[in-house]
Amino acid sequence: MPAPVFEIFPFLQYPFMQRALLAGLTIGFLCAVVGVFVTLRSMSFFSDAISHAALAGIALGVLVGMNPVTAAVIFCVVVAVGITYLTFRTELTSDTVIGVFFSGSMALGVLVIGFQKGYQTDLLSYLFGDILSVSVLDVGLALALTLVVVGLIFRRSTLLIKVAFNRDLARVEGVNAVAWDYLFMTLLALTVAVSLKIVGIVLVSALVIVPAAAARNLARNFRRLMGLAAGIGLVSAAAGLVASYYLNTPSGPTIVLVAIVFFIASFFGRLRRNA
Amino acid sequence: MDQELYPHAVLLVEDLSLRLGGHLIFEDVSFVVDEGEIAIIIGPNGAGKTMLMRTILNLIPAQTGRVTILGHDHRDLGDASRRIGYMPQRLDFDRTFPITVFEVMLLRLERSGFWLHRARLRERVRAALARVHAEKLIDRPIGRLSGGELQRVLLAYALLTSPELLLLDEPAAGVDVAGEDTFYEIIHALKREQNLTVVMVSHDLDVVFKYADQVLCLNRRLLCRGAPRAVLQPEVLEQTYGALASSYHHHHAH
Repeated sequence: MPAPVFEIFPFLQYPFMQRALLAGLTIGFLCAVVGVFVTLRSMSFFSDAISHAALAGIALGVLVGMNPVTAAVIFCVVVAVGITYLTFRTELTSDTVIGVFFSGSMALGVLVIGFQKGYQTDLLSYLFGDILSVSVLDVGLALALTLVVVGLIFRRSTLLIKVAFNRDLARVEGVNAVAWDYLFMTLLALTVAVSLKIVGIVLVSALVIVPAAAARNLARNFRRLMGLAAGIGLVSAAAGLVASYYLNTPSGPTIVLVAIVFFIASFFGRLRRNA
Repeated sequence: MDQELYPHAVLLVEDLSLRLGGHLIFEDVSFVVDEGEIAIIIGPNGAGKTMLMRTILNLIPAQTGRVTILGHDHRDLGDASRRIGYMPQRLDFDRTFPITVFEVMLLRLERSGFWLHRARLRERVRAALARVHAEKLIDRPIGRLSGGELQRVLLAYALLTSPELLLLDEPAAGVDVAGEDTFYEIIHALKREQNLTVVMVSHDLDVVFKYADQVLCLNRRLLCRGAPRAVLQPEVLEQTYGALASSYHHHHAH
């Protein structure tokens, strides 16, 4: 990178910050785009459950000597498909099914961690995110997944929006709503799993929900909703990371708090518009 | 019944029965709707009208029976689904969903170009809305429409791909009386101009006498079918509506 860039953004001379910023921007964008559909489908609790399921995935990965993020990806997808399947196949409401999976996978995670001695410090980085630990592989994984997920969402947005807007209308038009449900849950699980390193298990669903919620306060049409959410996601990730570097705070909570500031501002923006 | 026996049939329903959770919703329902016909399903609350509509569309799987729409089995419509327009009785959606009327209409027109808001499509949407006198609503958020406005937009949505068959479940619910008249006028005009086939559920016998080519009386079973003036006799109404029938009948004696 040229020297003037380092003068303006001195933190960029460190390779770990370059990686963190690239991963942060990618994930901020990805989470916000997916989050628009999560909030439209009232699935915030679902995304929370998926992120907490990642704990068990990571713990199991460490136990069997597998890359923890890869293990988390697999476990999150399994939990997402399991929740979707049981919601369709039983008469239980989705929040009940989610509650069962949420507590079950948390319990499993804590139990498996107990088998590991000396793992606790590493675990903290997954709970709250750690920019120092972002590897080239993590950045590559985040970029690749973003391309796939965002590409699919934008190419098939009409179908996804239709299913979220009204399932019956979508089904009458020949859309296989159930297949799209499974696909979307899987995309959400993948998104959550690759975001863990940056924001952490506890806060990843905030990065999914908060930018979309803030955008929803301001947007009156769908195109603007998506644009605003993506913008807020990107800016929150970048500003949060830089702030966490200077303030020496954990990256995850800092990013989320920046997004929350946007949410508060959007709330007042909405009040003013409606006044 | 067979499609070959009914060459002009747009909708063929044969021995259709539905049970939900052990309860009988309707049974042995059979009827044919020919091209260009307006068929109206009447019956008291809980008679199974909405369920029949939803079963015809395969939104609920039937236990027995067969439904053929535009020559296709209703479980495997393929591209024929674009030739069907459907308007539910009450559209369940999140009223805070930030989406405009134009964008909702784009959902029916576009597969992948949703974000471009193309001018060409905007003109097409405006024309579809103009047919139901709703062109001014194009940029309004759909959650902020009144009941009558929403019904118009939904009709325009159903008509957007120039369907051959329209299925309307109590289309005038939530519309005021003046609006209701125009609503049925629009449907009637479409039938005349485009030879559209319409199947709808209605509570209103006035509407049946004025517009229906065929009336279907449903109360768990099909109690009558045919031209309204021929089949809507006092005893049929009594059977369909029970004690309520006399008031309906008096209403139409004038």
